[in-house]
Amino acid sequence: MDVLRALTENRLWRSVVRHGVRGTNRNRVMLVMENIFLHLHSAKVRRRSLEISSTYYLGGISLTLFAILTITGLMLMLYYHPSVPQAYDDMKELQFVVSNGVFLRNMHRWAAHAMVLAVFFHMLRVFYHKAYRPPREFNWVVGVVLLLLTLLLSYTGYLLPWDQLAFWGVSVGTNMVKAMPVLGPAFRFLLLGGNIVGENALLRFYVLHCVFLPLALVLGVAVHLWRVRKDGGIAGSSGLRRADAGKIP
Amino acid sequence: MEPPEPSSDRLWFWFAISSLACLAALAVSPVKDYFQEYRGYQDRFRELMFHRAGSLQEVRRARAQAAGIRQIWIPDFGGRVDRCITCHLGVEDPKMADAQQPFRLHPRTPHTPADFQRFGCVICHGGQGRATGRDEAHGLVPDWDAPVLPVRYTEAACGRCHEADAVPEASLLSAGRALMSRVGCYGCHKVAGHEDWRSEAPDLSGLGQKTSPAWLRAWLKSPRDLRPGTWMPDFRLTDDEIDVLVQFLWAQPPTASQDLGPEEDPPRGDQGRGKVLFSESRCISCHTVEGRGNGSAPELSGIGSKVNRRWLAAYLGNPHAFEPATRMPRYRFSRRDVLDLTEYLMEEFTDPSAPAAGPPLRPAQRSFQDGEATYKKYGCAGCHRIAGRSDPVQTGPDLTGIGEKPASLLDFGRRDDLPRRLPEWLAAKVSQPRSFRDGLKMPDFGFTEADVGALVTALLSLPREEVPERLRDPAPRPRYAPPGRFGVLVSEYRCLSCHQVGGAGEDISTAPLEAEGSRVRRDWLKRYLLLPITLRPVLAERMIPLRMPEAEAAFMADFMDNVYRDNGIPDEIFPAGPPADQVERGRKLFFERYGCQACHMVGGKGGYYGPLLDGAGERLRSGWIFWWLRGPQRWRADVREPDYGLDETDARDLAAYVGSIPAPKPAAGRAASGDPSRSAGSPRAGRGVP
Repeated sequence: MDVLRALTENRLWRSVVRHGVRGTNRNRVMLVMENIFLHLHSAKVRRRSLEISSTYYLGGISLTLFAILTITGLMLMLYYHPSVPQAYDDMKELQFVVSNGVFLRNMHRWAAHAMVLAVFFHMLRVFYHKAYRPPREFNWVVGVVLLLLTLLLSYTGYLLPWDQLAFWGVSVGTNMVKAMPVLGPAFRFLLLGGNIVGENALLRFYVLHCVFLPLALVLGVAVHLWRVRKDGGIAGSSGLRRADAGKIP
Repeated sequence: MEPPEPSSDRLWFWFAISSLACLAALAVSPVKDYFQEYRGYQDRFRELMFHRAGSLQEVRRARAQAAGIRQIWIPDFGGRVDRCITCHLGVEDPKMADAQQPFRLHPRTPHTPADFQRFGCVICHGGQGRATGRDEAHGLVPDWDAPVLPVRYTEAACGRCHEADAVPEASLLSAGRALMSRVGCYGCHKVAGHEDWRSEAPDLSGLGQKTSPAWLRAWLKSPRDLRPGTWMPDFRLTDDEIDVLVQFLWAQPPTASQDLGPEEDPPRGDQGRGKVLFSESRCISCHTVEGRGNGSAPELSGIGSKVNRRWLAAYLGNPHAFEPATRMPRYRFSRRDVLDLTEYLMEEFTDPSAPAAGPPLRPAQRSFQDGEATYKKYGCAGCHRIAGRSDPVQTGPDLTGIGEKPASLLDFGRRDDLPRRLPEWLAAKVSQPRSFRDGLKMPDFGFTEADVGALVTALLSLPREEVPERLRDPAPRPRYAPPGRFGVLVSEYRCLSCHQVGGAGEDISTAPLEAEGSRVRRDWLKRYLLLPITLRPVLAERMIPLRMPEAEAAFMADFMDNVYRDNGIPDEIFPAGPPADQVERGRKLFFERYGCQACHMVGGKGGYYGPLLDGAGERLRSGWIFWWLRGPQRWRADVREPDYGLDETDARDLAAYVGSIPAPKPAAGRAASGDPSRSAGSPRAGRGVP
């Protein structure tokens, strides 16, 4: 313990970690409030909110998956060229010659699937816990936007491997956009950068997938978490305790 | 760091467990990465190198052999990357000639080992070049369309760059492409590069005056039963379809030129003289009789039971009036010759099993219309023409890219017995075209197994992906046509049915005409055109006596003497005749040093493998003999005369001797001298023919 104390009680350590981990309430509050990574979170939460049945940790899981996706995505960008036919060849290179390339790609892919699932279940949880009610209406709307952004991220990533599945998936999807009244054809043109699913479409989807949509999502998540805090912390299961559950008529 | 809550002990425990599990899971990928399949092969190969090392240097090299992926990168071929050599490590190592695969030395081909870096592997063998695992690389995974080509069809790959029909050193591919052209695949199927293909199938206008309805019925029922070896496929027509087709064909009028002449019943000729004419005219240089003969023209046995006597007489008089596209030359037969030949053919070549002529056909309008529909349905016009009609051609599917069609897009129908692979599908399709489901129209060609192999090779060579321009070897396109009056005569006598000139023409004769004027003397050529003599006794196909008028022979000889010259071949090297001492030395070289008499006959003695040399000086220019001896394969790559690597003196002396070999006396039966203009029917040309 002396060694530990010597390590933590010097100027260098204190300049980084100001508060130590002493278990007083004040210290805990300071620890959270003065840390950029933790400050979005409430400084103080009810024990009840931490129980698994309150949230099933679905929001946290979504956030973690997004972090995994960001990291693996950035690494995939090192090996990927958004051009035809290089894009598909790059998939093959990941499979055959990049060290752990298959692992990297599969991490990204499965994390993406899991994130859609987690976000969706998160929404269901909020819905069934009536957590969309005032004062949380706005955050519900932000959450809906985040779900849409998640789906769009998945969809734009779908084209990038440039295989048959990708090509036809995007062909069908953008033709659905075209069916939109009045603006449909123009919107499809904008999305594809032309009238066919070609190199321009690949480039646009790449930029959307790697820049615009992730930035929007990060922004949205920041607002979302901030509002969770400002709206009075997470809304658990409508205040009903398990003991009272049987008493509902 | 005291635990703040009593329940935290359990939490810490599970945290540790799950962290370790996570770490273990993460370790799986690097471990798998390290133990990749190819590393095992590379270890085995290194061991093999040690075993076979013959020197310390080679041992060192084996030791220095680093593990890792090896590849051939072809930036100007769509950035192809072939990693086959990651496991096939011995392809360039002569020590691995008998090693087990994947380490064996690549067999020698015109492109190996020189072009490994230029082409890579996949362009010839198929498969997935980028892959580094065995099944993935060989394309045996569901997501790869082009699995490795079975070795027996490897020649198909030659055809991806070499677009000509004949590809040297790819005999199977060449045979397959020749067969495709011969049996008329292009009549029904579109194939890039063969848009101007023309069938040799007979013109069907005026069919009614050529044969009988009964014969036609039997023919349509089963062509191969009537004439084994015919190229006409069996369409498996029903009796009803045959009836209406006969109705339709019988109603097609003859063209203006297909005139049978005024005589209703031509007079009978002399069968014996017809027989002499038949052998003298060397009909079997092209036709077969009971399967014997060159086979570039139809089988003649049974012709007497097939055609109408009056039609045959008119046809022999001028084949081009009846079949404008035929390869048959127009012999200048006299009327008597024609009648005698007709008599011989009609009486000698009968087929007792052929159907009797039967009653004339009674026309019926409804049947005509049904017949027309049947004619169109089976795409008959793909091969046959009827004057004045333009029926749909190429009614079958486009074959462009069939060689790379993914097996998943093929209709296997009820053929559950076939493996789901392209080569097997193609083989089944060409050998049993209608076995896949009902209602298919492709006819049965009765291909042999060898034919099927060749055809599948040729079909697999039709690629979807274009090879880069630098690798393409396009088929010779601009077809040479001899000009002017000479051209008219060449067409009349169909010289190009046997001879080649300027890339045009068939290769039945051994003598292309490009440098004929530099090769033979004009006077000899004229005599030869008037009455060909046997030059190469070993060959069954000989120059045919066309009975051309002397003026035409003189004109053709003059034209070739002046135009078909190769300026690289010296004209005369002995303007004043060969000096006697050189002749004598040449004679010794001929008989003693090089033993030329083993193949060449001089004065009736010697071998008959090469051309007869009696009177060679009258035939050949001395400059040609000299040039020829210095390297016969410069003339054509397949010349059988060995290249002895003669120096200039030896070649000159030999040329002096060969040029002075005297012609035999006319009494010996040779026609090298004497007046060649003669009455038709002289049997002299037939003599001395084995």
